Amino acid sequence: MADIRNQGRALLRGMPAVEGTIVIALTILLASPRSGPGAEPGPILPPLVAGKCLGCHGDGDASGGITFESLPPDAPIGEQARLLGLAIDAIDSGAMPPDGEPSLDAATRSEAIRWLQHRLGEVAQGIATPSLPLQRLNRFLYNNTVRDLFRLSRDLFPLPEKLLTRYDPYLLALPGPSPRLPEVVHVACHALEPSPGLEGVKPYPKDLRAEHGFDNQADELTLSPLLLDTFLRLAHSIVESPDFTPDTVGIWGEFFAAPAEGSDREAEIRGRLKRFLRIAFRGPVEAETVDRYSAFALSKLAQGLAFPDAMKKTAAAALSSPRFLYRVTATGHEDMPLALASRLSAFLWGSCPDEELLELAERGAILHPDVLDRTVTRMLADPRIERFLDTFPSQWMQLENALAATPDPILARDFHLVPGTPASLQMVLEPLVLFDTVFVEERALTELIAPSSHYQSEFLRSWYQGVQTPPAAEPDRAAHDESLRRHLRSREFRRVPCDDPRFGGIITNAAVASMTSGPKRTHPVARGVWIVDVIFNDPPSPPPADVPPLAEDAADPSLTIREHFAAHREHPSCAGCHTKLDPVGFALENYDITGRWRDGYANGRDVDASGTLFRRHAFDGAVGFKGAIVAEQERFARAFTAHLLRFALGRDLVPADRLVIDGILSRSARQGHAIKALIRGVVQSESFRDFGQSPDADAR
Amino acid sequence: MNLSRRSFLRAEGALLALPFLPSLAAADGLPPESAQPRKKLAIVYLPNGIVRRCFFPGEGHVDAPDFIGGFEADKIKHERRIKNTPGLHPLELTETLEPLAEHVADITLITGLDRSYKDGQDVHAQGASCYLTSVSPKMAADRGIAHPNGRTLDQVIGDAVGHATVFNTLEISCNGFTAPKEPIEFDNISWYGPGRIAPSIREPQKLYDRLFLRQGYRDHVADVTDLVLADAGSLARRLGREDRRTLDEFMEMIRGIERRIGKMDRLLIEADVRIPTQEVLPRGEYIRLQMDLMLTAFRMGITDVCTFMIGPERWDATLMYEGVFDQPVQHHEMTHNQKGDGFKQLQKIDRFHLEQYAYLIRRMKEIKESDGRSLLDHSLVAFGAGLGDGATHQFFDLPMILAGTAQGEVKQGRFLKMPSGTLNSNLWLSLARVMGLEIDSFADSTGVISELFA
Repeated sequence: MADIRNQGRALLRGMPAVEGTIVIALTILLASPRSGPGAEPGPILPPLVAGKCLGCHGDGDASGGITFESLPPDAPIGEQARLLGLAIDAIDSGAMPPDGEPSLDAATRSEAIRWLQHRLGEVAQGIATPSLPLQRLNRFLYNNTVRDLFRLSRDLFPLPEKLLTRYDPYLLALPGPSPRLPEVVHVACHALEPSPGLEGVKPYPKDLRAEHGFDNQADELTLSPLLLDTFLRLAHSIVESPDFTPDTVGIWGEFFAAPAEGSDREAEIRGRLKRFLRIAFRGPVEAETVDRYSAFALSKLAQGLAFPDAMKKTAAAALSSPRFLYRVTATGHEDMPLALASRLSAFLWGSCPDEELLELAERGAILHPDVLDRTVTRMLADPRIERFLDTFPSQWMQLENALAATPDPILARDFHLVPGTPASLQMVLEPLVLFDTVFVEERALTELIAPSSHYQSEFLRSWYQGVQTPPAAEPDRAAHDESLRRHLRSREFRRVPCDDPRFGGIITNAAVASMTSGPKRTHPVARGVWIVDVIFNDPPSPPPADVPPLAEDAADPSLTIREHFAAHREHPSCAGCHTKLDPVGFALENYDITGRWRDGYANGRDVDASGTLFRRHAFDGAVGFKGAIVAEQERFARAFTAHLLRFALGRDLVPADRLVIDGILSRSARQGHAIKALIRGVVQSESFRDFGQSPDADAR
Repeated sequence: MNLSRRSFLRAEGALLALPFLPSLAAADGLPPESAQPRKKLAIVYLPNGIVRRCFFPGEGHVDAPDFIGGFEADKIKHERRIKNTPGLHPLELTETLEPLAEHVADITLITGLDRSYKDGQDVHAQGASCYLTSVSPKMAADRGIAHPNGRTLDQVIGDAVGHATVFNTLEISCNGFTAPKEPIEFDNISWYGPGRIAPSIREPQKLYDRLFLRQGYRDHVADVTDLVLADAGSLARRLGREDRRTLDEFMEMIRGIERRIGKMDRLLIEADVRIPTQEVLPRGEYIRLQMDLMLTAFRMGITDVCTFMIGPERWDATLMYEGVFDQPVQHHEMTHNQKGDGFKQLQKIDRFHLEQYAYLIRRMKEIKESDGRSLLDHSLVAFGAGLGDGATHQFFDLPMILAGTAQGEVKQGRFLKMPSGTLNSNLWLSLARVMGLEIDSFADSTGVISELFA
């Protein structure tokens, strides 16, 4: 220990007071837990850190910009948590100790991680969740909220972000002990030509996805003058659209239609607006607001407008209100139930709370875990759950990029056979329907990686297994083309067992292979980035600006891509990330630029797809690689849950969320981390009802 | 004056010459006869740098520089930069610049300008988002701002001159990519302040809607303003300080729209402008249509200050350049593959962009202002890139071409070689001064570029 104290002298500086306790630092790593998982306060850590970490991560070197030696005395507690999180990830994944250093034996590793997690838990308690800023509705939420508010029978405007159109109501498969999708489902991707929406209604721009995030992250959802202009224009154009009629608007009779002759018009208007504004503003509305809107409607009538027109103007005014456009999160305990209802409906229905949710929130009943769970059950069985499946899976898997894939028309002739209908329109359906299946049938989460059965179209079957090179001569070529064209139009997806383990699952499919390839060759690094980001929730930092990409024109054509890329791992400033990215990216090298299997390259060399995952699981190709991920299923489930939680909360995760995820995982383990079980876990978690502590909450 | 029977746009998207409309000049409330056409400023941004040695005269012999990029490039810029003899030189046109042949008397080519780089951000992201920034890397570091994207030059100028127009500024982009691949920093050079984007408009139809408010919409805004402001007030009472600030901004934006509509009503009754269609135009036509809409905005007094991105930074997806290449190409990827004859392909894109610039200048010469002089005579049009050379992604030796005399203040037809390392912010300061701002510094500027002035 003397030696350790010596080496870690700087670690012994005083740390700031936390919750009244003076933490005299041993380091953040070495601090002795007040009550540990075992009796001894982690005796394993001090020699481990001193012996294995400080050599590189001490002040002298601070390799990778990380030092465990000295934190300034006022180091924010968040920085401590960040370092702990990094240490856990690095040790857990086997990235540390690095190559060339003796690795940890399994017992030491798990003991070290146990203590680090415990320490993180202590540190995280001192970190308040940052408060969420006032956020505007994103485009998807706007569309659905307006639809639900008016019970409108169609979308407001084209939604190209909706990649999967389902022609069968299979999401509401018969509930029961083992819900099961039908043998055949009918689906299509209309993202390149989405249905037009209401005439005269122009969409606002698609919200950008936060980097490694979703399009619903609160801090991205700000309002510019340009966007406000668009919102005001939208409000007006929706109710004035020639398509906004008694036929399309479900609430026409109860809201827009003139009341019976002789009724008290003013009272009638007040009553209608009270109900309407309550849904529109996602909560109870004070009398003075109802008064204002009623006065507005009456003034329109006084100007000579017909009753439905006056109500249209009033509805358009409500759609222009900040109380409609902004989602308010809780700023105090009394707002919390409503904020929870709003978060829940945004998460699962991509919309506003319905009357039942509002009622539960107003009574406060929604805070009760049993009521909340019954509510989730109801919401999962409601047709609106389709909105969750229209956003989360495609954004999580970044599948909109599949439609941007433009493989070289000579190398991939079949991809572009029908102008305007690229093969990617079929490809993108495969992982999305699989997600639906795993969701509805409540399969184990690893079925996303290596499914037992899945849905395939005739097009995809022939893409993977059929003729790979179009026949050179007629009439075979014409027959080949005709068959492809016919299959391209088909909406039929049929349940088939996954008997060829090379195919199936969200990793080894044509959509992901195509979108992670350039026009002429595969991009193993892009594939590696996709894997570590999507599958392991561990996105790499962007490449440093001072590194040249591969100079392809000067490349030796006899080398394989792997040989070209060897330079990445030799260059010290690249090795840190590329030792992580390249092996997983190269695991998919047997899939060409459009996801077809290949054993060799055009230059005659064989594909080498071997590698090692987390320094533990050697594999010789994609099948073994998927097996390794299944073997590491806890890690995949953890990553998936982190994505799900970030989507549900609309914010980046903080250290305390890490512990929340632990809890969700342990509760869903029995169900194999089925997606619905994870959703229940997310909704019941502390994070879900934590709206953060505004630094000025009491200043109001 | 009623514009309703006039058409600004031909079907192909080119502008018809409009007779001068005195009412437009009167938008600021001055009587028409005393109204002097106001100065206009357009800043055109080129993504992914240029092939420098094909761009500037006298550099053709230089070898293709190796990629260095960003911070590393910045550290060794004094060894790597192209040595020049400062001063005014006659303007000769390189092959890349040939499309400007008809305009040599109206432009100034400038070299020797550097930007300050702040480490820790992608060069393309900083390249675009901080091109016009008023916050230098040092100022950003002092204030604890991660990326130095402060309030941009166009906004600062708009603050000072925008009272006369409907909008302080207008932001246009010609991002033709359908894939939402890159973060917002790559497609926006105008920012209200750190992290607060002034979003660029990439769709002609959206731009059209932004410029010409329809009657029904104007009535809607007039109708609902009071209700909306009252709702904002009742909402604000329930919020914390940060959120109340957001709502204050909301209310200010609502009032801004109301003011704008007021100005618009004085400008014109109903402009019968042909609405651009949704169809996908060939790239050149698309860029020129966006330019036409910008000129319409200048022409009608809708704004005097506009930023115009001819394309977004990086965006590693293919794009069709009709008439230039038969196949879709990736501009950014081409900048990294210039060895051998690779640069010649890339040069075609540079030339293509200069053809668009030449079109803009030509149109501005054709359009006459109230005093009978051309729109170009009253304007300054900057055309430059955030990266000095696509091969290196460097932040030094930036390309810049200025067109227009801004009412005789700027002398044209020259090649101005600035002492190497002159800060680009000096140019921005000079532009601000031309636009009438009485400021002594901008970002890390050290002074105006006096050689520009007549």
